[in-house]
Amino acid sequence: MTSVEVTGRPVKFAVTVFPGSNCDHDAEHVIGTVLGQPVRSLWHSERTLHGADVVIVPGGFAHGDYLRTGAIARFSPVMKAVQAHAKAGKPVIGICNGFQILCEVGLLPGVLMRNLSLKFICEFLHVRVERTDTPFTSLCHPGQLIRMPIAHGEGRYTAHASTVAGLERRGQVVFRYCDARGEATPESNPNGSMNSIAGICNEARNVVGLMPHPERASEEFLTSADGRVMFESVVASLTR
Amino acid sequence: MKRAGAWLARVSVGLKPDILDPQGKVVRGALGELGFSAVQEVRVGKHFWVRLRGSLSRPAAEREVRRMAARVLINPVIETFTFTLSRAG
Repeated sequence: MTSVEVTGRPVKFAVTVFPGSNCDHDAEHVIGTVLGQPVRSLWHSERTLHGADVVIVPGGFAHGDYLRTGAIARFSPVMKAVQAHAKAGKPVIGICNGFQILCEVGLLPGVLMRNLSLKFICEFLHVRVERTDTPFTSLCHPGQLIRMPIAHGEGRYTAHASTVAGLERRGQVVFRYCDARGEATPESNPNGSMNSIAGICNEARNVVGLMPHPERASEEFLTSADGRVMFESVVASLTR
Repeated sequence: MKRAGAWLARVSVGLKPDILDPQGKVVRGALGELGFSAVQEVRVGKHFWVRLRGSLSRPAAEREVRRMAARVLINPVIETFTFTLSRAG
């Protein structure tokens, strides 16, 4: 397990909250209690991030996921502020529904579609860290395995074949579903995502989205604290 | 003069041909099991009925429908749309 000496200034986090968000408190708990960093929630009607350094778009069912996952949330005032934050090169992470919202709003390419099995899947699994040159993976080593849960009905990463090829070529695939030995096999791909993609980043690498839940695997009593490194990474990347 | 009735746009949203549709496959399987042996493929889409102010001209109403479909009703990565426009009465 990685541990970080936080010596620099505090890193201010903001967690967006939409009607139907349900992982916002978990995220705030990890940032505020586990990492001891300042964190505030941002209701979807907010137009400013109140000086946040990092934005977390958490999981849930924003606006009931009506129309498409993230389709209504993308027009929320707070998302305009999040887009400006992202365009300025500052760190943004979308987890699960947050990943779906970042795709809908166009900060990340592609879309998350119904799982191939058509079932809602809630289980622990492994992902492999493919890239350590994002603010959320800077403390990982290449190929590091992270054990954390997924909980989604719509997590099948889909994009045009040329888009996926571009992601691979530019090293934008940050996390890939794999088995406990780190092999990405058809069996270890829970939802039929193209290329076993569990998480990606934008070209500038400051915006990361992933379907698994690192905030649900950040303390030992949850059976895995592997996910904590992602939040520690972004703190480290902003204070070093 | 009698005012024109509202416009009714019927917007049909479907997946692009190269997008996998597991839901459609399940429906196709169910139809096959129920004896609809002629069915070769099913793809599931969405249908929107949108009522618009009748005072709009037809071109203006069509423009509005195209704009809202492209901006909100579809995700252009995976979906396309067609629509018809008629007087709702």
